[in-house]
Amino acid sequence: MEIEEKRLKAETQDINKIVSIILATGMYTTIFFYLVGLILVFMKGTPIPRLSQQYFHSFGDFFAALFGLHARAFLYLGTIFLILTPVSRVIISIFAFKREKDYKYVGVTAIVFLIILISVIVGSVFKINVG
Amino acid sequence: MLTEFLFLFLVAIFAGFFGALVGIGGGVIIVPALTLLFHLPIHMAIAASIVSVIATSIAGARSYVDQQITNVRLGMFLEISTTGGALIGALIGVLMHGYVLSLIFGALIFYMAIMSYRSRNKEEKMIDSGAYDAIRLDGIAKKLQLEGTYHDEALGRDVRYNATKPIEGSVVASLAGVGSGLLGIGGGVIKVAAMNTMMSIPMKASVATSKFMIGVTAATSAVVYFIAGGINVYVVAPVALGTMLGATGGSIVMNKLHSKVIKMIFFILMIYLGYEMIAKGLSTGYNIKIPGLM
Repeated sequence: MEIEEKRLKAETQDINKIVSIILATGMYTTIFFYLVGLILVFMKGTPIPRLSQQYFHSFGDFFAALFGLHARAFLYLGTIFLILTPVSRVIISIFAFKREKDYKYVGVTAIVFLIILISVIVGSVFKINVG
Repeated sequence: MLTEFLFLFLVAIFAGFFGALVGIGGGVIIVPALTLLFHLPIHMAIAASIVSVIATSIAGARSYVDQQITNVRLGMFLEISTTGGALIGALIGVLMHGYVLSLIFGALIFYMAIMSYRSRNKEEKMIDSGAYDAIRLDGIAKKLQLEGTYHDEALGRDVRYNATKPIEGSVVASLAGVGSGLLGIGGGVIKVAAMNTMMSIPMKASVATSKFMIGVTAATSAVVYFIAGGINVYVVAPVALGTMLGATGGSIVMNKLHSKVIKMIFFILMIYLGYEMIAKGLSTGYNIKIPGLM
């Protein structure tokens, strides 16, 4: 095997490992919050609301629900972790490629992150009317 | 109440398992199930679907990355066009009638279904003859180090492959992004086609890499729904848990199946999808009703 090919393979395995750890952490955190939330739902016997709603009006509201052991706070947290997992995979990959001195892919990954940021802005400008 | 959650959970397991087999997020199963069987408003179903698509992607992607089938560089490279597409898709969705796009997508998916059906026996022949390895890396693919290797369990050996036409592949992959931004699907079907048929990446590496990319594409769309307040966390939680479980199972089974089987499942799914898209386009655009599920 050529040296260059060997280096690329070792580097790829390192990055694979980092990606795998991030995905696992995000997944188990999400599962934890969802399970706690669902257990609280079952204990209180809340039916599934058919309309989406504004769950919290402020941070204070959110923390009050969290410490008051309201199901929605935990289900909300689980959802936030779920959405942020792929995003954090992108952010951390930028640093992983940088550590491997693979600057081409630092650039590629940074562009992906930039597009996600732009989407967040676009998302808040064009408020869509849902359910 | 308990049965409602159980129902959502079971539907989601099925969608996740099936999605992992063919490299899609499972949104095409979840959206019709939530609207038709669970009678949720379509917007809420799409929002729930998008979040669960992230869940399948995370569970499936991790298993494939661990099995070393995923081509992380290829995924990162194509993510530029899928997230870019998702952004454009969301913008177009605001400005343009959805039915026009449904019809275009329907036609595109039918075309891909036929391509996949015609090449169903080609895959293992190409691996056997070393054709994937023999494909010459073109200049850009070489610069981007898009070549790769994975271990095929059904064939019992390592498969080496090169990549070609990265620009053409990117253009097709961006359509997957548009689809996710607009319709709330992961767009895995289109991503797989972009890699397998355009860029000459073996089917299994394409499926694994598609799963890897779906999370980031769907997260982009999910943020929009989340900010807009369209996500019902009571629905999302059991659906996301179910899809994760199903996707984990599906991605373990996938590498044990022959790619001919995967291609046939892919073909049937795309015929169904294409039909639904066209039915939706005709119904919302021209008020022509043909029997459809969505």
